[in-house]
Amino acid sequence: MNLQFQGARINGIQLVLPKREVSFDSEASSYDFSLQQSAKLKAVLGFDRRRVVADDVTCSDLVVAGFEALSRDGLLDLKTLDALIVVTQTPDYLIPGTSYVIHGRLGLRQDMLCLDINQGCAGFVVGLTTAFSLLNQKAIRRVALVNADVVSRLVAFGDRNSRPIIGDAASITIVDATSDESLIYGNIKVDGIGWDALMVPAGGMKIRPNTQTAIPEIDANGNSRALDNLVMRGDAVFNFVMKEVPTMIHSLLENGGVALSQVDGFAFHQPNPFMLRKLAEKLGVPLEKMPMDLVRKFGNSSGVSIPAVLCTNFEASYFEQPRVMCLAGFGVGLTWGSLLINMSKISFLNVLEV
Amino acid sequence: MNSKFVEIINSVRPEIRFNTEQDTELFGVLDSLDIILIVEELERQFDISIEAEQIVPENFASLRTLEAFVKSRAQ
Repeated sequence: MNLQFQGARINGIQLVLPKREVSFDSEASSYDFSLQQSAKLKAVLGFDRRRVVADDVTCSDLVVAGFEALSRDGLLDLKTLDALIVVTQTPDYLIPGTSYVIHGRLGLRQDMLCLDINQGCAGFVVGLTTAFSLLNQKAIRRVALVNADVVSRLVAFGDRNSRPIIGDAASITIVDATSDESLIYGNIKVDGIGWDALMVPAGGMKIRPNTQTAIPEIDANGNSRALDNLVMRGDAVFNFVMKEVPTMIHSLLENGGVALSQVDGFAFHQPNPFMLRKLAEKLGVPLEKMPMDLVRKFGNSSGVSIPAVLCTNFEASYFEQPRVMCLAGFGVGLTWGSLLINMSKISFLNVLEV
Repeated sequence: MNSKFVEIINSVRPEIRFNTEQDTELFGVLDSLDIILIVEELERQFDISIEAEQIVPENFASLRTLEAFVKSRAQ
């Protein structure tokens, strides 16, 4: 569906990365890859370095550190927040939502709205569209959109398809009401038929975790995982992305009356460099306008990937003059969503390592 | 079958030992990582461009269908 928003702007983004870095080289012996295969995987799929949390670190730990840094640096007065949206697939608890944990840990005021959304790779787009919608309320002038995931804790040690690319991270995006009348265009679609293309089978109410769900089994391709672990059908995800995302972007640009060449930057979710290159080729986007190095440097951090691309590839000063940005996320659900947004006067694009 | 072509497939999954004499099923044998590596290598070694929408089961069903597809891209 086509969406349209007005009266909202991104004020600033804080990316929070775990300091702990692991390298593919140090883990390659866990998988059944030859030296030649490992070299190719590094070059083509960006298997290299990724940031992961320690075993007891949760999303709220990363997010609280991020908010505290913003407050300490004088970039955000926590009392000005009217709504807190938390988008994650790896909540601290099944109950309550992680937004309430963060609200409590930060001592935020009671007169505000907390909202939790279970989304992954399209989570920044879904979260922003929700934030823009909330800003239609007169009582809501500032929304903090949190994207956070610690998916590394759900990936099996012997999953050669997923583990080498998965990274952990969080981001805090401050979205403000504005009198600026420029329009923001959006496009979101869902195909629930593919709900099991990316999933964790056990842990919810359908299959409760137990000793059996923790026992790994080896599949035909040598991946060892248990029902408690993330499973991704890479071929299904690849095919849906290549089929649906270019069509979505063309529709978004047409809806916004913007030519592809007028877009200053394409900040897309970062599955791997190969898929991004194929997407850029199919769309006709110059490679220099579409950053694709996140997986190689930090890992694929699900819904945090788009804000991570913005914080690690652009300076706030780049947005002193308005820039037309195309944002796109795609993955679990299956969901694919995009936004065409004028970004200007960004107060901060920070990276915090904790 | 072209030995260079089979060599490329073997470099990705050496344990299967594909050979030039025999058509072998690929779909269900290769996973998404294998397919991406094969596409990258075919593009490089045969100087062809494989479009994203061509990376589909029909073209990767077997050694023979993949070889026919590569030949069609090279023309």
